[in-house]
Amino acid sequence: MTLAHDGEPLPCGVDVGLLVDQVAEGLPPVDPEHQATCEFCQAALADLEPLWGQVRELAREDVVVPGRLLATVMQAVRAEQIPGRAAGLSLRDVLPQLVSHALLVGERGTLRISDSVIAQILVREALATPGVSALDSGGVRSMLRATPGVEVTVDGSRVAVRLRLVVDLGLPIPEVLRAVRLRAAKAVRVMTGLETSAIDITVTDVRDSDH
Amino acid sequence: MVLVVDDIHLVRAAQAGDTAAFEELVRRHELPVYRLALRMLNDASDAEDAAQETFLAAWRALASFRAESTLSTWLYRIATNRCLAVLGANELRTGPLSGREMDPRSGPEAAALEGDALDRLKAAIARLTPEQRVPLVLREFEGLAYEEIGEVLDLTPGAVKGRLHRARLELLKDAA
Repeated sequence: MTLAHDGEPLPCGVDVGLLVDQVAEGLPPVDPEHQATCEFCQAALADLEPLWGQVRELAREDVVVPGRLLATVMQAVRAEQIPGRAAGLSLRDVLPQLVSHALLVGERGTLRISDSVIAQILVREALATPGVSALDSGGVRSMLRATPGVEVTVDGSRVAVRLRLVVDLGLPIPEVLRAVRLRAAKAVRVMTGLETSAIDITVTDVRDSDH
Repeated sequence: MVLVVDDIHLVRAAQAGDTAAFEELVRRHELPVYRLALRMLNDASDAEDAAQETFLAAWRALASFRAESTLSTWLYRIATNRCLAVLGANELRTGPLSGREMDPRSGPEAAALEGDALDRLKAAIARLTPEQRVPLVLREFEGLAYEEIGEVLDLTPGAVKGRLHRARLELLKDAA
């Protein structure tokens, strides 16, 4: 198979990538005269055409939208407390954070760990800490994230974290937060090998745990 | 004669709180949004969730839609981000240190390898990195121009072209 030679030109000097784009985009050949007579180009094209034909076939495949999609969306839209107009949110507010990855460069390759993975580890550790009642999903911004109440910023192999917590009434809050920090930093280190550079915690509410 | 109202008029009505106008917009755009999610996520149920979340996010942010881009590009942008978030979250389910990149042929896609050619192609698309998958899906399945893909991804048309080129090579190598 011609494409097995990754990045290497065909024996005739033509870049396979050019042929790929020619087939995919339906472009005319860059050098029609050469291509028409070159056995290597012809062989590569003979490989590429059927493969790309499958892509075109998939593009033609009928996709049927689940019938309930519209109704479900509209139910949610009509149930919104704040109509879109009054909420005045920017696109940035409602988009989930763009996924970014922490990088760990090792001898045998690079590990990439997405921020949402780290966020989910943090959620688990925070909720497992005695005295933490819940993560605060308050605010439309936070609500739309996969992990409300957690914000993770990655920079290389370092992770900065912001947590919004609801704590139980009764326990000393500074001690609860210290425990959350320790647990969170340890879990991130053990599970991902990443170091936390900062863990900022905001206590947004308290709850009476007897209720 | 059927009177067709432009998207932008419906957007203005919806911005003023007209949910029926928004419903018509969802009806017009649900196929491309769902299809994008389906090709990105290769899972009907995940795609349905992502499409729902896309329209709900669009409703919430509708006031900020300024018609600098088309509604369709704007929706693709929201949908793409939803899909990337889902793909990020899925990494935990497959284990943080044994993700798809480590062994791309393990996991749920492996079953699809035994299916027909189109199933194998779908699985191969699912093995592309999200960064390569987005431009490929937008170009080959949604038929967007480089400029439009650039708007969706905040990239220059040249950068789109580069990513698309690598995605195609990767896909063909995998499917070959």
